[in-house]
Amino acid sequence: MWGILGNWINAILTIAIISFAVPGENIFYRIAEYIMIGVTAGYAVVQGIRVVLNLGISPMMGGQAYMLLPILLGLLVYTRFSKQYGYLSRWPIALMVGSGIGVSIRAIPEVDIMNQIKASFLPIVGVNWDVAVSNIILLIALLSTLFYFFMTVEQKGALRQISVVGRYSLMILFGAYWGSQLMTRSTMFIGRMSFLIKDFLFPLLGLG
Amino acid sequence: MNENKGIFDKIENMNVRIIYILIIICIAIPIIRPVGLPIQISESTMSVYDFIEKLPEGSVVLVGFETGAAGWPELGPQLNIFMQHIFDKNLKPIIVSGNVDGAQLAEMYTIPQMNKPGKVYGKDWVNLGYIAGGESGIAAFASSITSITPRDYFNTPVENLEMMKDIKSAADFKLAIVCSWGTPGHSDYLRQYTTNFGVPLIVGAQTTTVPGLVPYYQSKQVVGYTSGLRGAGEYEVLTHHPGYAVASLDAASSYHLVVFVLIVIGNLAMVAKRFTTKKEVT
Repeated sequence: MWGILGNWINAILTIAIISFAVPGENIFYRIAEYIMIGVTAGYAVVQGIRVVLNLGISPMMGGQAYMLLPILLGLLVYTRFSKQYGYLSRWPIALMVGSGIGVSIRAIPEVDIMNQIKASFLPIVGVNWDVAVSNIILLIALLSTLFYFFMTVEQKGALRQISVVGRYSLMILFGAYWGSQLMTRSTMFIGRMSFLIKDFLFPLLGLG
Repeated sequence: MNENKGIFDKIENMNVRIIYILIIICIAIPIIRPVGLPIQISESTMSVYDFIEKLPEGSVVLVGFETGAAGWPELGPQLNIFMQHIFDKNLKPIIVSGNVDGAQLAEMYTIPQMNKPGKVYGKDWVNLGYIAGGESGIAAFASSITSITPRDYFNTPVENLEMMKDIKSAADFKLAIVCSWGTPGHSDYLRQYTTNFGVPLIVGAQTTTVPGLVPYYQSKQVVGYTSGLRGAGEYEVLTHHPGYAVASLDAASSYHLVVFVLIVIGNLAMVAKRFTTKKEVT
């Protein structure tokens, strides 16, 4: 019973959202959109409360009095609704930003700089010709793209040509991003179409 | 000449609804009647398969369901087939998610589909639920699991779960798998699990993130990756569990063909229009 009802709600909301594509903006699309936003926000609030209970309130009630400090810091965020005490909300946000950057910056030099530089030392002799060509292309694209963002020297003459190669390398990357973006969006649509046809229409028509 | 220009103008300014309807038809037909186009296995997918195959039985694998409902059509099939392979190999998955709905999606759409005879929750797999705090939360989890997830998804204290008795930090994981649609994503996992704890990382990627992911694979920081629905289809073939992804790949191919043809026609029309305009001027 609940499964069938869920399937119907699922199908109606899917069609309402897709309806934006053909007739354009309409009331059904808006309703489906607002339902989605409401449900998502409500769910996030519930999960947030659960985290505060498990990581803050429960340990505090169990005797870990110091857990009061992060709870108070968290509550300070809400002072932004007050003109007089709004500045207090900056403290927990500054703490979050600072600790967040500190946590990630520790590994960034290794992951995004050192290991990437090491991986760019590629062989062009003693390997198959196709691998050698591929490595040469990678090296040219890498150096020319880096040069494209090199602003301290005026890029003219031969230097400009290197910069142009860098620009074309970037264009190829943007093309790859655009193509993969298309594939991601198509997969989402295929997922919905597959649901509508196989899980909704077929059983409804007695075909599945 | 003007007539030609009119046609090119019409092509360039084609009503977008015609394209939408064309795409709907081209996707619907292969879903109703699949063609069964051949699927070739890519090198990166093979690396993923080989690595999981070589893991000893009982190894603990962290699986990050870093997606919400909107990302599920692309990441869900990958997560499902990874989890099935993990259960087939008698590995022990720990499910986590930095997205509020990831852990629930695992319980709703992944776990019920798994063929896992004799496997018991708490002994053979656990779902630790939502990890708040983004990368900071992941870092805290990696250092001390119970500090950030004292209770699992079902609100059971983690110390009561048999499987978790000897697992205290990321150092106890033999592998981490992340399927992400944004943040937290492979970069966060790479920094916090791989760089800080040496945990090998496999990525189930959304196709849109693949160009940004490839440098990490080429630099051997990521063991392997699967790319979107296609990657899931390849993995389903490799593990002999053909399912949703394999069935949907015909529709994906059909869609790509339509988009390819439309791009070619659009560009040809643009070039032809420029050519005819120049001729008229001269």
